[in-house]
Amino acid sequence: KPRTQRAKRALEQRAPKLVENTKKALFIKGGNTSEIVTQILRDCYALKKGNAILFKKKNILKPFEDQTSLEFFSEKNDTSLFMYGSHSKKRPHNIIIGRTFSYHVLDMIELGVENFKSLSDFKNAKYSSGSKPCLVFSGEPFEQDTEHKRLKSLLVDFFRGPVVTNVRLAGLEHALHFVAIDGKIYLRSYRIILKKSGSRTPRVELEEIGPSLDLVMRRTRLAADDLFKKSMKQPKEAKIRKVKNVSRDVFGTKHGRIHMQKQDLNTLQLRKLKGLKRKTAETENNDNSKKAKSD
Amino acid sequence: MATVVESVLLAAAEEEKKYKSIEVKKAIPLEIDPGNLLAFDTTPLEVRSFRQNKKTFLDSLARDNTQLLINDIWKLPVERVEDVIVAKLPPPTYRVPREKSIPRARPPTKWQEYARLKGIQNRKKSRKVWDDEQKKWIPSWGYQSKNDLKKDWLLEVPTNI
Repeated sequence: KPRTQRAKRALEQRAPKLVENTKKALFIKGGNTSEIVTQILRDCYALKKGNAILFKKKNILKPFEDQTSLEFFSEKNDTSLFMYGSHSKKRPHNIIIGRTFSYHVLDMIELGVENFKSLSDFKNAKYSSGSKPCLVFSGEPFEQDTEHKRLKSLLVDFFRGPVVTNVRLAGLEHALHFVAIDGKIYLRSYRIILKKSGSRTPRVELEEIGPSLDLVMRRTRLAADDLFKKSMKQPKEAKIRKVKNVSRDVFGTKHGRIHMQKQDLNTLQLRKLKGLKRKTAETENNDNSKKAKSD
Repeated sequence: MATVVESVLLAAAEEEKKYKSIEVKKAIPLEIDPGNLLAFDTTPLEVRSFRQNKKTFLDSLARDNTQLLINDIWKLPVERVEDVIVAKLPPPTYRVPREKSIPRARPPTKWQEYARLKGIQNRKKSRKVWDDEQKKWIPSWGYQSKNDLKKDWLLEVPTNI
């Protein structure tokens, strides 16, 4: 139990929520890293800046053999995504990306890096930091192969950034492109340049800004189906309920369907007319007497 | 007349030439999720042309796909917020796992359990009540209420002292 208000707030911030916080990523340097791997970690950290923590010291971990320390870091820093970089003779330039679900490793995928070009290798203008990237995936494996499918889900999770309701149209300036072809995965990062096209929609030109990686899939550890299903479960409150009897047509006009009960015509309020008034015996007598007086 | 029409058409054609096209043809349309700014291209890729020149292949593929994504985003309803044009994104359709499990409802306290069992409900007590004698609203407790002791200038000494 927290002793101070500050601690209480901090705990509330980490507690499970209906609408969750943006996922944070943890970048961990392994016991032995090559220059390439270190640079990759730094570049990916730059991509994720704002929602990321970079560990600059060495942490000797073996994520595929023992996950306890990984889970410990995840819980300590309240991060649910991680990227671990290492380098060994058996697995040169090795990167493991993964995610956790309630501080337990959900899935991990090990990727080998070939042909790396860092952000600083491209000498050109970069995008302004903190912009939400456009993610593009292409290639059949992302649709067919289970491991690639999961990798796609992981990459979307990793790079998509905060979920927003509005986006500044001029602020779309970063595109990440993942291509699975020829047994490899090509990650390319581009700056989007919007040019006039003569119509409302601009023409897109791309300029590569790095990092660019060619990745090979190595070991994988995917979550069991039931655990994955559990993690995908949506709270009842967050689900979008279908609104009944309301529809929109092609022009965007709202149509409602109303169900009405049969109207009771006896109680219907009509315009009151004196001549239509039903006369009771008394009123009739009064009328007669009035008439008599006037006569 | 005819010359005028021709010249206008020519001008339009030239105008069009100046700008490159925004249309991209794909055998299979992309799966686009504007809520995540995510596009997914399922069209089979040509491995041969890829092997010939990797960079140009990847660049042109990226350009085409991004163009399609941007086309879709530009179709969304826009709004003006502080001199900036902003597109309203729909909720994301591509779902990713949650970070933590769904929060569970807090278990009811012992009193809440008991109240539920006995059917006890909280009742709001109003601050003022209507007094028929004075013909006005008076506080239901405290100063100037009905049971306010200070109201009477003389009181009998209670016997229980």
